[in-house]
Amino acid sequence: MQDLKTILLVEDSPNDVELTLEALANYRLANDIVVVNDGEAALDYLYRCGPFAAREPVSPVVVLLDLKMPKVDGLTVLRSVKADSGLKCIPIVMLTSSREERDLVESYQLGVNAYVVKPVDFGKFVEAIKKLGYFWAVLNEPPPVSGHYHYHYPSFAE
Amino acid sequence: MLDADIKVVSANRSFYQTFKVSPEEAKGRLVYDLGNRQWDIPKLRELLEEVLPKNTSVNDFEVEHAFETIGRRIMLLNARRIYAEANKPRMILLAIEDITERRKAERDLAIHREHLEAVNQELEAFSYSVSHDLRAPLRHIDGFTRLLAEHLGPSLDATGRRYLTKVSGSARQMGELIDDLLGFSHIGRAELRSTRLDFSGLVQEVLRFLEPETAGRAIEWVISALPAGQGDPQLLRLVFQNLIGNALKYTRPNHRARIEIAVSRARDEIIFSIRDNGVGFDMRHVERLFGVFQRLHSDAEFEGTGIGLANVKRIVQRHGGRVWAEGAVGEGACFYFSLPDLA
Repeated sequence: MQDLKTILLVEDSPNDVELTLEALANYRLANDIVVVNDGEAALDYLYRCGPFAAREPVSPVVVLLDLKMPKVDGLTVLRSVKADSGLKCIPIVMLTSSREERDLVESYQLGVNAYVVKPVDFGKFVEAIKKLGYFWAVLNEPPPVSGHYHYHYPSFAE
Repeated sequence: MLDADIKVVSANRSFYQTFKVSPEEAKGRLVYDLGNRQWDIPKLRELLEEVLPKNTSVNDFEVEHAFETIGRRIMLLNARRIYAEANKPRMILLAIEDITERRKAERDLAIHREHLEAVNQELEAFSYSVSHDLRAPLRHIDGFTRLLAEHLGPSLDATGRRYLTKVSGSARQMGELIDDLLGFSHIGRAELRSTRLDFSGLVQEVLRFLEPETAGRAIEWVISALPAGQGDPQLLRLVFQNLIGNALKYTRPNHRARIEIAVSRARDEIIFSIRDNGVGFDMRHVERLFGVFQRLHSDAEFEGTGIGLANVKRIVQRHGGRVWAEGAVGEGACFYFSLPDLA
């Protein structure tokens, strides 16, 4: 079975969505990118309810999560995911404009997998997104789907 | 002074004056009967009556009352047994202290502190919002400018490219200014983590950090043995980093730079100085040196946002020290800062 390696991008700012997609496109990641615009939709997607009730039951390889969003913010989504035994293995990368220490501390306390401050410089932003995409969508081995264990034998073909 | 029946034996002048009662009127009367029975409080009565039989005391009993003679006041009552003389009856010493002013001062202080806390919280919220909300649009400006340049590709001429470069450059510069301003505000609010520290080691660390800027340059370093002292190592490292970094920056045009780091002790201060033979400055502008975003040079001459010396001043002042500088155009500069000598 071909894994659908989906990246979930949670971002309320349309400008940031466009720039992030542009940066991911630069690297031509073969992944599907699902974009939702607030924390509530992110939770709907992850819990497969509401508009996402019918989606395939495959977890995204990584969630790129904006911290500051109206209504349900990034920290709330993070808290919810990491407290759920079925979802807590999904890697979550916090993407944020700010260097505020308390956000950083709280995110790590809640179990975030990475925390990236979006640089003002677009060149650096593209670089950061590329590295993130490559690491999480290509290099990192995602957690096994519960109940199904995939054994990987070392391959000499690579 | 009260006897075993809680009757007044004697009182001091201040008591008679405050409650407008003569010694003759007061003597021999139950304390509860004085001044419109203002002391006739069941709980106080109970406590006072226990003092002699049970050898107890009345501790900080507060009475708030609109006294006929002095208006509404808060009085603090303390009483205990005393021995006048052997074989004489034991008596109670009752002390009445007017704490209205103290209470008012305490209340004012609490209100003041609450106000300060609110202001501080507001400031925190402000800087949080600046850090989030002002950076995002800048990112978008820079991002879309780059995308526009890519999109136009060969149809973008040299002038168009120059304009877009300026837009990007300005966005990034504003990003730096915002970061610097947030850093400055953080330095003012961050908790001081004071420990014992060795300034020689600190300066060596800073020099290692600045190596990329010293590599390939002819610099004569004259560094005195520096003492150990007290302070926040992270913040004081920033002070040295800024001052030595400035010395390096402003000696860049020199054929041969000379940077001197020295220390002296004066009364209760340790005074550090960082002297260079660089471009210097006009003493008429000395007051502006330590201001936020104040610069004496254009960006083309020497890069920088102008936050460095403002940070230095803030850190040193938070340690209880002072900063000052001397210089002359073309003859170099010397920056001083002092720390309290706690040794």
